Amino acid sequence: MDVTRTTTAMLDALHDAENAAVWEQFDRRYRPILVGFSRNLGLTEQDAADIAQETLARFLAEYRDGRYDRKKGRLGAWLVGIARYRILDLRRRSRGKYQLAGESAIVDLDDERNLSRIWEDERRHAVLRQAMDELQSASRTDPRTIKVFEMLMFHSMTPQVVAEEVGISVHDVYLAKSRVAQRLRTIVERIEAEYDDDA
Amino acid sequence: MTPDPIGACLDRIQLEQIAAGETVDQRISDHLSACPRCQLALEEVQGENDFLGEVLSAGVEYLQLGGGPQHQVEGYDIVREIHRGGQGIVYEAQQLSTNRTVAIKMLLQGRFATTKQRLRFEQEVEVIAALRHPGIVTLYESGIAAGGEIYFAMEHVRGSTLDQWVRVAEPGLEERVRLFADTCSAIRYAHGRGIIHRDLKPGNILVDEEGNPHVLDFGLARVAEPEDGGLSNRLETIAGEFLGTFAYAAPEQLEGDPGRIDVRTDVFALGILLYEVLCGERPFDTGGSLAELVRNRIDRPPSPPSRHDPDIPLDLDVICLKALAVDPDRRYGSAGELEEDLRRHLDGRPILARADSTAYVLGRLVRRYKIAFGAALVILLLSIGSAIGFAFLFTRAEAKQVLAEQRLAALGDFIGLFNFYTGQGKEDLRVSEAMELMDEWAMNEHRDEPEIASTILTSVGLFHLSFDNLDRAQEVLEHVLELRADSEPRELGEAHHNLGRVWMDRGDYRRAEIHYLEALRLRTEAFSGLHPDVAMTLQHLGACRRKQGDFAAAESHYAGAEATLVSLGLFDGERAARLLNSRAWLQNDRALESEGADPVAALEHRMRALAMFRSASSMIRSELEPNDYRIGRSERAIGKQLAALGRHEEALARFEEAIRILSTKGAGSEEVLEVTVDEAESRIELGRDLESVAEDLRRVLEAQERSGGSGERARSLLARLEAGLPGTPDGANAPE
Repeated sequence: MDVTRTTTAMLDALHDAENAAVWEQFDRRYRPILVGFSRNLGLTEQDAADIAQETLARFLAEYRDGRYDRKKGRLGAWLVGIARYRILDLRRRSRGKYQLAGESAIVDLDDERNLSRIWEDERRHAVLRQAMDELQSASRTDPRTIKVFEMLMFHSMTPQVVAEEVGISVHDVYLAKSRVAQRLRTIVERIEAEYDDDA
Repeated sequence: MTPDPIGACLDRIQLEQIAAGETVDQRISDHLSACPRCQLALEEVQGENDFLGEVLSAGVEYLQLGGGPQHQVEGYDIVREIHRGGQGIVYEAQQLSTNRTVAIKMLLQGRFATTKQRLRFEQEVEVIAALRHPGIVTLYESGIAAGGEIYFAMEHVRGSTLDQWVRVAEPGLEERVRLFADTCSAIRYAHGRGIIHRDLKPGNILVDEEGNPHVLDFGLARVAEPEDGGLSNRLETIAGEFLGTFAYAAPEQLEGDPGRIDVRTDVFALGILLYEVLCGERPFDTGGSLAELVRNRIDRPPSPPSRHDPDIPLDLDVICLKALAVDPDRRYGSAGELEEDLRRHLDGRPILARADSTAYVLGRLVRRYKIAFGAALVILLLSIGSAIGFAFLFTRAEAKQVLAEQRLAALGDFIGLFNFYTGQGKEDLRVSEAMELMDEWAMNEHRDEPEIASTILTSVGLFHLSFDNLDRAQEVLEHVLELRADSEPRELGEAHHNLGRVWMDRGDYRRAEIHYLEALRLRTEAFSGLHPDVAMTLQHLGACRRKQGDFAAAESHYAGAEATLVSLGLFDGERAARLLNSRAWLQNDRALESEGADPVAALEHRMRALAMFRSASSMIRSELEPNDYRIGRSERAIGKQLAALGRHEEALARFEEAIRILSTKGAGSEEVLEVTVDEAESRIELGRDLESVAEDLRRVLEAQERSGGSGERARSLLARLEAGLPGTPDGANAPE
C-alpha cells in the first residue's frame, strides 16, 4: 500500500534524484490527468499517451533544473504549459499529420482559461475515479450497501426493483445510496486534500 | 419542532422523488414551499444526486462494465436496445395501449444526468415535437420513466440507414437523387422552423421500406432564430466546443466557431452525403487526423463525382461541388436551394448553380489522357520503372518474394502489350527472359533513339537493382548515363539518381553521394526546384548522409524533401510514408547516439521517431491491403520505439499485431522470428509469463539455427532469463 503524499510533499521529495518511488507516485497521479487532458484536446489515445510521457519527462528535467517556481503558479498550470507546448510541437513536427480522435473537442490552444478548465475537469475526474476504486476495494462499507448503490447507479435499476431484489425496503435503498454517497464524498475530500498545490 | 399546519414533513422517498423530477401532488408541494426543514432536506438530496451524476460522468468505463442500464417505462414493453451513443440510448419498444412498435430514447446517465444533459435532451424533445414532416421522425410522447429518467417515444422506422440502403438496395441513380431531394426537403422544412441539425450523417437518415427518408437525432440541433413563438435556444454552445461528427463537418464547424454556424453548415453535410450517395465514397479523405481533415476540406477541392462513375452527369458534379464549397457564401444558401437544383436536374430543366472551374479541370484531365499509343508504351514502361523503384524502398532481403510477385504482375501487363506490339506471342516469359528481351529490344529497335532506349534500359536496370543483381544494374544504368550524356537535365538527373542508388546498395556512400548531388543539381535546374523528383533525390541524399553518420545533414536533406512535397501538395500516401519512415529511422539513430549522455534528448528523438512511424503507418494503411507486410513491419517499428520508451504494454500489442500480419503473408518467417524475440523482450520487462517466454525463445533459437542464422538475440535473452530465474535453469521453479 502506498503512503499517500500531498503534492507539496511529493514535490519536496522529488528533489532527491534517487527517490524513484516518489517519482512513480507523481507519475501515477498526474499521468492519467495528462492523458485525459490531451484526449480532451482532441488527441488520439496514443498521441495523448505520448504527450503525457513527454510532459512528465520534461517537467522532471525542468524541476530538477530549478526552473519550476511555485510562487509563479500552481503545478497544474505548469504542467498544462508544458503539455500545451508539446501538443503545439507535435502539430508542427508532423505538419498537421497528428492524429485526432473521431469525435472530440477542438480546443484553441491559446485560450488559457479554457485549458485550465479542461485540466481542472480532468483532475476532478481522476479524483472521482480514484474514489470509486477505493470505495470498491476498501472494505469499510458494507458490501450489501455497495451492491445496492451499484444496482441503482450503474445498472439504472429503479429503487423498487433494487428493493425487491435485495429484499429491503425502498426507504432502505435510498438510505444505502445516501450512505455510499456520503462515504464517497469523504474519500473525495481526502483525495482532494492531497492535491494541495493544484486544487 | 412546531406542529406543521399543512401536513407531516416529507419522508425520504418523497424527497427523492421530487429530486428526480417526478411530479408530486399539490399537498406535498404546498408543504414543501412552507417548510424550511424539508427544503433543506431536499437540497441535501439534490446535492447528493448532483455529486453522483458527476461521479457517473467521470466513470464512463465503469458504466460500460456494469452491463448497461435495464430501463423500464410505464406503458411500454422494452424489446431491445437499438443504439447507444455518447449521451443517449435508444430502445425498440412496444406501446401497450396501441400495440404499435416505437423507439424510446433515454439519457444514458438516467436519473443522475447533469442539468446540461437534461436541458439538451429536453431541447431535443421540443425540437422534434415542433417538427411535423413526413421526412422527419415523429414524436409520440415524452415523460419520466419508472426509474426517474426522462425519455421520449418516437416513430420507429423500419428500414436501413442511408449508406446501408445504397449498398444493399442498390437503387438506380435517379432513385438515389430523388430520395436525396426528399431528404433535402425535410431539412429545408427544419431550416424554415429555425432549426439547424448540425449532425447530418448516414446513420441519422433512415430509409423506410417504401424508400422514403426519415431524418432523426436532433440531439445536437441548434435553434437558429426564434421567431413567432418558435423555440428559443436554451443552450449556449461554448466557443471552441465541437459538436457533430468530424467526417461530415463543414470547415467552419471544424474551426469550432459557433458564430459561423448557420443553415449552410447543414448544406455542406448534405453535400458530403450526396457525394457519398452518388459515388459510394466520401469526397474527402477522413483518415482520422483533424489537421488532415481541415486541410482536406479547405485546400483540396474534392474530385467531381463523375470521376468515380462516368455515368454521373455534369449537372450532379456541379450541384455536389457547389454544396461542398469551402466558403459558405459560395454554397447553396439553404437546403431548399439544393433541393431545387436536384429537382431541376430530375425534371431535365437547367440547374441554377454555376459550373465551378473544377468541372472544367476534369475535362482537361480527360483530354490529356487521350495520347498516342507509342507514347502510352513509354509511359507504361516508366510506370513500371517507378513501381519498382517504389517497391524497392520498402524492400529488405527477406521480403523479396512478395515483391517479386507484385512485380511479375506488373510485368505481365507489360508483356501482354509487349507481345501485341512486337507480335512475338510468347506468353510465359520468365522475368530474366523478359529483361533480356526488353534490353535487346531497346538496343535493336531504338538504337537511333537514345531517349526511348535509355528509358527502357532504366526500367531494366531498376529491375536488376531490385533483385540485388548489382553488377548487371550498374552496367545497364551506367550505359543509360552514357546514352543520356547530351540529354536534358531532367533525363540526365534521373540517370545520376539511379546510379546513386546502385552505389548506395553497394555500400559506397561516397560515390553514391557524388551521383546524388549531381542528380540534385540537374533536377533542381530542370524543375526550378519544385518537383517530386527533387524531393526524392533529397531523400536519398539524406539516407546517404545518415549512413555516413552525419545526422544533421541528413536531417536537413529530409526536411528539404518534405518541404518540397508539402509545397507541391503531395505530402501524402506512400510517398510521405516512405519519407517519414526515413526520418523516423534517423531519429532512432540520434536517440541511440544520445542515450547515456543526454537522456532527455534521447527521449525526444525517440518520441519523434515514434510519432513519425505512427504517421507513416496511418498513411500507408489507407492505401494497402489490411494484411500487407509493410503494415506488419511498421507495427514492429512502432513497437520497438515503444519498448525503447519503456512502454512495454503498448509495445506488446504492436508486436502481436506485427506477428499476426507478417505470418499471414508468409513474408519471411525470419522476420516473424525476430518480432517474436522483440515480444519476448517486452514480456520479460513486464515479468509476464516468463515460462512461456522461455519456451518461445527456445523455439525461435532452434528455428534460427536451423536456417543458418545466429540466433544471437534469442540466445542472450534466454541466458538472461535463465540466470534470473530461481532454481533450475529449465524454468520449473519460475515465479508466477
